[in-house]
Amino acid sequence: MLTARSTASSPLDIIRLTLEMLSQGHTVPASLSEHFDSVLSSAKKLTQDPSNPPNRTPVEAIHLAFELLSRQALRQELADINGLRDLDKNRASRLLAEMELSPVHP
Amino acid sequence: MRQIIAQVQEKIDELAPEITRELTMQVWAASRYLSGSVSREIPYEVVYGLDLALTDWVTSPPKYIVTTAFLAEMNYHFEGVPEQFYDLAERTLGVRFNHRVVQVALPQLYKHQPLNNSLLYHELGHFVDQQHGISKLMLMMSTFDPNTTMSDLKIALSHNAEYFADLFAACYVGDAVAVMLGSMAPNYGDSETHPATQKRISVVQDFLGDKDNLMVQSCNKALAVQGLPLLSKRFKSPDIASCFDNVRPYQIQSKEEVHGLLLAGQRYLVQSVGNLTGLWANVSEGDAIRMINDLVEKSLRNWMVREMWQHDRTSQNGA
Repeated sequence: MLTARSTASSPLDIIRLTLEMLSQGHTVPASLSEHFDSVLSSAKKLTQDPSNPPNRTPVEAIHLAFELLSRQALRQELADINGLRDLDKNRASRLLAEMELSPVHP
Repeated sequence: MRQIIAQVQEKIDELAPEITRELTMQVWAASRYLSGSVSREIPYEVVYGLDLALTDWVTSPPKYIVTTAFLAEMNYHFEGVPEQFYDLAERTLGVRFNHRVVQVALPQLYKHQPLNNSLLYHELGHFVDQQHGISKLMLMMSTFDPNTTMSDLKIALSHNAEYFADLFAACYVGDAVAVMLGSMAPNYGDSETHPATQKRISVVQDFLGDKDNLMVQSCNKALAVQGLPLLSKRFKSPDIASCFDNVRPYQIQSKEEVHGLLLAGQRYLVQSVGNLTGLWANVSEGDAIRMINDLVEKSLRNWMVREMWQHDRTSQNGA
């Protein structure tokens, strides 16, 4: 862009959608649950040594890793979470609220 | 898109309401890239060059459908239906798309002024960045200080994105991007969203002059991690003077010259205006600008026709 412009969608929309479903007590389809676990795992790997990222990291994992590196509260909230199975309704709500706070674009 | 709408309607009782809402919102968002597009007035020559450049960065399907829109303001964009939409449609409805829709938007007034549209390559750079997370990777791969404020991070990220887009454009149109920046944003200082114009020009000039530059290195490191081509000069600026002096289109020889013609045309324009001689001697400056843009358009169109002709002949011979 030559000038500032906001965008309605976020690269982490599917992650947010998954958390929203969980926080509302709805069943998350396996395809979304697996996706959540995969993105989270790749993002955590990336945060361990961001100066030396794994090759061909999925773009969603890059965005989530960036959020984790730049926001301590989110990092702490996800520290002991390794997949959707580790989340309950309340934690999903807290995570969602944390992610909504200050998304960093682009 | 119709298939998505039909499937959502059919499965409305099975799908979680969050999924239905997200898909519906995404279809609405996608529709603006289709319904707002012009089909009878597309500046095919400009879109052709961008489409050609895009193929350098997409090595496997899906294919891209590039639509066009005109803006009533001095702005450009190159953006598309978010990748998450296609992903969500496949994961929740099993609908797989073979094509991706992206839209090029440019000022209405410039629809037949290809030399003013070289900045669209900058916008294409943003698109490639967003598809692969390049500017975020650049920031993460540099010394990442977790104590940096969110505000400073946003600024650093925006500046990385602009430098990358400038360098991406320079790969295709060379110095033309620096000239356009100097003309459109002269002496602009650092802002929250954009680095100072002089810094941007300096990075582009270092790249084009093969000088070491930390920003260029940073971009290339991130591109390498993502398995993408490194920044390199993908244009050849042809010698158009003998043709344009005689008010004749130039016969483009290669796809590198498709991009490079914008640089050559811009140089020709800058040199000619204010110094019109020969066949141009009695032409007004305004007409000269329009005619030089016309010559660039015609040169590109001739190449496009020859390429299509050649492609058809090859297909027929192979059949």
